[in-house]
Amino acid sequence: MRRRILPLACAAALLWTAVSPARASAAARTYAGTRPMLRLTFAYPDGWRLAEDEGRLEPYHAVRLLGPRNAAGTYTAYIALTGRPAEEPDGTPRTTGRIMAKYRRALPDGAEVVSQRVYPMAGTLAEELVVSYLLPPMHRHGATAAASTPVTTRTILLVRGDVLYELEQSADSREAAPAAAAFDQLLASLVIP
Amino acid sequence: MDFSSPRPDQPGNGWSLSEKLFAVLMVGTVLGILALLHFRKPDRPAAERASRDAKQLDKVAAYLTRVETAVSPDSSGKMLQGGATVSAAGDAGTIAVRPSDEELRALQAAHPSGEQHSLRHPDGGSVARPESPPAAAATGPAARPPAPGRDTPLPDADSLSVFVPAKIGLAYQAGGRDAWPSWPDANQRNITGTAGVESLAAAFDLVDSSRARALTAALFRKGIAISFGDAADFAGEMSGSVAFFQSDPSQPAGQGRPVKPPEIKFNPAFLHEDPRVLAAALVHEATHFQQFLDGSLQHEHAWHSDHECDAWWNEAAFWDEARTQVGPIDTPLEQQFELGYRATLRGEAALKTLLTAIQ
Repeated sequence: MRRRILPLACAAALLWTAVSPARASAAARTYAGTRPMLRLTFAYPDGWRLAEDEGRLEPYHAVRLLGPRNAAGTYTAYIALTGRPAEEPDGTPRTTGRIMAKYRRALPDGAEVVSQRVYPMAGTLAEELVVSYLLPPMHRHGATAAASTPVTTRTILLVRGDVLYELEQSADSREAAPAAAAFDQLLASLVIP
Repeated sequence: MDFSSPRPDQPGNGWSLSEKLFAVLMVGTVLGILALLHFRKPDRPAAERASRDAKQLDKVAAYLTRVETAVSPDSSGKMLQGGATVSAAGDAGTIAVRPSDEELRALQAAHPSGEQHSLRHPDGGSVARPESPPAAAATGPAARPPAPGRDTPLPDADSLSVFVPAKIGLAYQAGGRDAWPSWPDANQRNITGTAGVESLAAAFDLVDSSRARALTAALFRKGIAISFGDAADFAGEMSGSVAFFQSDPSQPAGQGRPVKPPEIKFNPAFLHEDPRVLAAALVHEATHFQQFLDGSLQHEHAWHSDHECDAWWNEAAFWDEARTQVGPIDTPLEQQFELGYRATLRGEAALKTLLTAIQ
């Protein structure tokens, strides 16, 4: 009898692991979101810290992955995935074009567009923009070394169903390779229902 | 029964000419009425636009009423500077931080429409900017030494005494109810120390004349000390800070009065910074005092990121008002505020992401 109970218990535990809400397993390096605007599944590298967030001032669900701090100690590489309603409160559609235009207007002065393209992704068209700019010295608590930092940020926007997804990866331009590779790994495994 | 059509030559069964004319007239009349009804229908897209406009107006109205901060009524004397409206609500009042009629009249007198031109706003809108500084700028105390990295002299304190509200921009994040009901009011602007007192006073007045005046009102009400600190205050991990808000986190909110009075200290490295820039930093730290006052700062489960997010958000909202009056945004501190402001334009998520990256 015990021989039968043990496999059943293991199977139940595995099933619970699979269906339990919003879990990110460092060992499996996978994330399966259950929040309404972030039902995403993706893989990410071991060692990246994951934090979920929910909007207080505006509706969104987000998950941020924090990678290595740069050598200068001024910037932490990150991957941020945000889901928000694909419509403004007044019913105006949040198209990728409109949001990208708003994003471009909010870029720091002197920001350079490295590349921009539109391509199919997750059964829809995604709009991507890669920019680089110089982050000014940020004076803040705990900042012993305030220095300018060259930053490269890759932003992808896509609308799927009633959710506008924003996928963003950013890092110190001088140390961007690991974060870029992590983002590529994430995108390759990304499942948007 | 015979359902076959009558032959035209059958007498009595065919329509006479007058009957045919009558039928044609009737059909024509009905069609005409239908056409009239159709063209008299309201234009649906126009109606939808009108409905949307009405919703937008409702949103603006909701925004104007949302930007308010709970204050105790006995502090209203200070808060009422400029004629802002106060309404009592239980043991706390609310102050709408919209320009009062008196303020608007004064601003209209100081800046008739012909004196304004538009600047491009990063969010696509336009912001009004006075073509020339207020007349008071021509007189007043001698100019102070220029700030590092700035060629133009600092503006006179008189010219800083009032803001020209450029537009309704980012909404300030208001605090909650006062969690220290037994803490007596001091009702004083408590700018202390020996260095930079004039700059801090100008910065305080700037915030007090902006839509963030609820923040300075709270500082005034409790007489929170504001000063430039010394090198020891900004040693170690505080060396990179522009300013800090200091309180005793071990004392729970609401127990009498704070044993260790909270205070705000500015880094002396920024002694010669433009008061408008110091004002933005003051908004940030005053937001932390607002969090202290409503007890959220002391809450053990409070998420630090939310506190910082609100402080940066309010700082950005103030910078939204101040940035067009600073001149070229060229000092590192101005660029920092500008960066935070632009991230805030993208929304809460983007601002939090930025804070995550730079913390």
